[in-house]
Amino acid sequence: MIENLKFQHSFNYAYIDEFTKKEIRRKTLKAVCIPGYQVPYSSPEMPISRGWGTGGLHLTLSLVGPDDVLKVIDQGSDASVNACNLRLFIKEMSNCAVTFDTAEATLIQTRHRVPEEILTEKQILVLQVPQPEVLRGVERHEAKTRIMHGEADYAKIWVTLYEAYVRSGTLRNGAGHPIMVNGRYVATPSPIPSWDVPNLNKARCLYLFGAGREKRIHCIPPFTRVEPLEFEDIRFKVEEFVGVRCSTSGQDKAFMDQVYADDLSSSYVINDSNFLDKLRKGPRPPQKLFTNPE
Amino acid sequence: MGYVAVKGGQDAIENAIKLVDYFRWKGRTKPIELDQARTQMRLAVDRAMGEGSLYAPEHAALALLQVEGDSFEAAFHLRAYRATLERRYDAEILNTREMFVHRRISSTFRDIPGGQILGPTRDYSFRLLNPALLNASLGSIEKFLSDLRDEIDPNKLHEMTTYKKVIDIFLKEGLMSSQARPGEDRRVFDVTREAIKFPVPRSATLQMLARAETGALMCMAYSTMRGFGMAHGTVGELRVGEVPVRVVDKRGRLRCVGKIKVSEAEMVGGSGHGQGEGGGRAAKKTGAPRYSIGYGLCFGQNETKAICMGMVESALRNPNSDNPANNQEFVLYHTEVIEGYGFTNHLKLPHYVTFQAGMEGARRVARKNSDKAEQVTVSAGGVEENND
Amino acid sequence: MSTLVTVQPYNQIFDGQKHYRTLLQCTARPGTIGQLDDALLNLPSQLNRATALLALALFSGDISYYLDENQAQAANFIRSETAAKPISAEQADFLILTDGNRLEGLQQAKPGTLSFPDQGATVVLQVSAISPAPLADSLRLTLTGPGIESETVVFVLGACEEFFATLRERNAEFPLGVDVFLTCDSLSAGPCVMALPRTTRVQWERI
Repeated sequence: MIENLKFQHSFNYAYIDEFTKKEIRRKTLKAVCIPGYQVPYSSPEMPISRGWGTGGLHLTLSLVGPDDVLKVIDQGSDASVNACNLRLFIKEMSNCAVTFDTAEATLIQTRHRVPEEILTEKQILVLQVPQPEVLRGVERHEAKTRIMHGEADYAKIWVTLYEAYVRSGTLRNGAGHPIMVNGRYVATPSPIPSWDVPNLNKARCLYLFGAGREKRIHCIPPFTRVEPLEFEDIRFKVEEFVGVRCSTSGQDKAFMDQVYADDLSSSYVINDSNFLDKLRKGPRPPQKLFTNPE
Repeated sequence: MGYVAVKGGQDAIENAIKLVDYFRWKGRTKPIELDQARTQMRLAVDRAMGEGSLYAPEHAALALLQVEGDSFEAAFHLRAYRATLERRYDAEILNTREMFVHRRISSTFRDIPGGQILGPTRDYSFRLLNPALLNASLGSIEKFLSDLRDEIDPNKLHEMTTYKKVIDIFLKEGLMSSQARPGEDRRVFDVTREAIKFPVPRSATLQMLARAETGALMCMAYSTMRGFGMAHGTVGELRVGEVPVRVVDKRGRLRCVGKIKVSEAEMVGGSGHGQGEGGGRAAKKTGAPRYSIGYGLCFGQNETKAICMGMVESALRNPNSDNPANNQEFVLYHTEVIEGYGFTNHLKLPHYVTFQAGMEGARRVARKNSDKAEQVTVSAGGVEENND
Repeated sequence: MSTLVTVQPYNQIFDGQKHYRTLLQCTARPGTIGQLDDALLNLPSQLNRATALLALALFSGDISYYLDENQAQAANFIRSETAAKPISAEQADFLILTDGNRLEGLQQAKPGTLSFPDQGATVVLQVSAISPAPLADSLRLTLTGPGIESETVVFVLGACEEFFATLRERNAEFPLGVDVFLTCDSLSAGPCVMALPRTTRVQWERI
C-alpha cells in the first residue's frame, strides 16, 4: 500500500535529534547553575502525550547513554502502566539497561515520588513536573511571575500559606509543598507528598525537574539547602500515618497507599514498590526520616 | 488500583493495543487505502497538517487512518514525527501574491480586481445528507470528470494565474500602512526552538496561531464578536490556493522546492464607522492610516481557521484584559492543541499518591479540630472516601 | 582512561552524551575535576582538547560565541565544526578565553536579566593545569556553595588572581552572573574540566 520511502525512517539515538539535545543540555546546565530557577527550553513534541511525562522524558533522553541503568517510577511504582510505557520507550531508543532496584539505577525518572532509599552521588533523579510555576496559583500571568521571581517578591505566596493556616489550621494540605531553594528561589518540588520534601535538602544526588508542556527545566543540585516554606510558629509537617502499618511487610515509617477491598474495608501498603520488595526480602535499605516538630 | 497490577503494566498496554485493533477490524470491512484517505478526506488531511504543523499529505492521511479519524491524535502523531526531522533550510517568506488561486473572495468590496472566485466551497450548498454519494463508482467518477472537462474552455485555462491583492486598494489610497507599528517586535521567532516569552513578537503569535487547534481558535474568534470584544472584522480577502516554497541552497541559489496549498485570510479591522478596535483609535491620535490587517494563514483548505486566526491576531494586537481573546497568554497557551489535549487527558493517569497526601493533610486537620480524635481516625478508614 | 585504548574519531552522539554527563556532574559538584574521554580531532593550536570537546558537546547553530583576540584558526574550527556564530563579548552565549591572564571577555560577558538570569554567559577559561593536589606556583582555590558538602580545595595553574576577583564582582548579584568552566589538557588524565557556577564562592591564594 505504501510504496514510497517516506515512511521508512529510523530515529536518532535517544529519539531527540542532536541539535535539540544540545539545546536541552545547555539549558539543564544553566538550571544547575541557578538552583530553583525555571529555565525556558524548546520542549519538542514527543510520541507520548503532554502531561504524561514529556519534560522528564526530554531530560532523561538528553542524559541517557548505553552505559546507563534506568529506573522509571510512577506514583512510587515501577509497574504502573505509564512507568512501563516510558521505560520501554527509553530502553528501545537508547539501548540502556533497566532495573527496578533503586540502588542499582544511574538514572531514575519519577512522577510524584522521591524513592525512600537514599540516593547517591552516582544517581540523577528526574522528576516530571505538571506545573513548574509555584506562583501560578497566586499570579496567573507568566510575565508577572517572572518579575516576582526576579525580585524575590514572594509576599503573595506567604500570604496564601498563612490564609490556608487560618482557614484549615494547617500550613497546607497535599502534595507539592513549596520550597525555598538555596535561600533564593521559591520553587515547586513537583507534586511529591510532603513526606518526600525533606529528602531534597542537602541530598547527595542531583535532582532535575522537567515540565514539558510548560517548557521549563529547574534543578536542585546536590548539597543544596532546600527548606519547605513554613512560619516560625507554624511548622511544615510530613504525613503522619498515625497507627498505620504496611499490611504486606508489617513495617511503618514509609509513605503508605491506602487500598480498599470489595467490602470497602481498607488497609495500608508501603507505596514505594522497590522499597517494599527489599523490606520483604532483607534488611531495611538506608532511609532519611524526618520527624515532625511538635 | 486495577491498572497498577504488579509487573503487569506491560501486558496491560499490549492488550490495550490489541483491543484497539480489534475494534478497528471487527467489522471485517475493507481497509481504507492511503490514497483514498488522502483524496477523499481532503479537508481532514488539511486540518491535521495545519494543527500537526507539518505539510505532508501522505503522512497526515496515514495518521488519520491510524487513529481512526481523531483529529487531535492525528495532529499529535504528525507533531511527534515532525520533531524528529532534521531542519536543513529555512524557507524564504511565502509570497501569496504568487498564489495559483483556487478560490478567492472579498467581503469589503462588491467587486475586486480580478474578480471574486467562489471556487470549491460548501458555503452555498444545502447541508442535506446525500445518499447519492453511496452510489458513486469508479465509472461514475470518470464520467463526472470528463463532463467537467468538457465544460472548460481550454483557451481560458492559462489566461490568468495570479491576482492582485485587495489590500493593494487600501495601500494605494493610504488607508493602510505596510509599516510596522511603532515599537512592534519584528524578530522572526521559532516557537519550536525556543520557549515563548511574554510579550511575544508578532511572528511567534502568528506561528502559534497557525499551529493552533481549529475549534479552540474559533471559540476565541467567536468571543471577540459576541460579548467579549467589540470586533467584527471584515474579510478583506480570503484566498485558497497553491504557493511556491523557496529556499536558498548551500551555494546561495534560490530554489523552488515545491508548492503547498494554503488558506490565507486578511481581516480588515478598524472600520471607518469608528466601531472597530485599535486601528480606528490610533488614527485619531496620529493621523495614521485607519485600517489594520489581522492576518491568518494555515496549511491546506481550512477557511474557518484562517479567518479565526486573522480575527484573533487582530485582537491580540490590541491587549485588553477584560476579554480572553485579547489576552496573549490566555489565547496562545490555551489554543495549543497538543498541550491542551495531553494535559486534559493526563487526568486519566493515577494520582493516588498526591490524593493520599491530601487526605493525610485533611485527616491531620480533622484530628486537630475534633475532640473525638480517635473516632475520626477510625471513620477515616472507610467512610470519608465514599464521597470521592 | 587506560592509555592503551586507541583514540577514536569524535562521535557526536556518544562522545557528546558522555562529555555532557561529565560537564553536568562537574557543574553539579563544583571543584570536581572531570575527565573527558579523548577523541581524534584536528585542532588548531590555540584551543586545548578539553575546550574543543566542550564546544563540540554544547555548541550548535543557534548559539553565539566569543573568542579572545583574533584567533582565526580556532574560530574557523568552532564555526565549521559546530555552526555556532562568532559575536562580540557583550552578546556571546559562550566566551572562550584562551589566556588565563587576560580579562576583557570576562568583564564584558552578559550576566542575564532578573527575569531571565539563564541568559548569563558561560565562560570557558583555558588553564595549564587543574589538580586536587598542590602544584608549584598555582592558585589554591577554596570552594563553597551548592553542590559542595562542606568545602572543596583545588589547585589551578595558569590563571591569575584578577580573574577570580573579577568573577567575584560579576557574580555578586545573584541570580545575575556568569558561569565558568576551567579546561586543561593533562598529560596523565587527558582533557579535563572543572566548573565554577555563579553560586560557587571562590577564595584564592597563591602558593
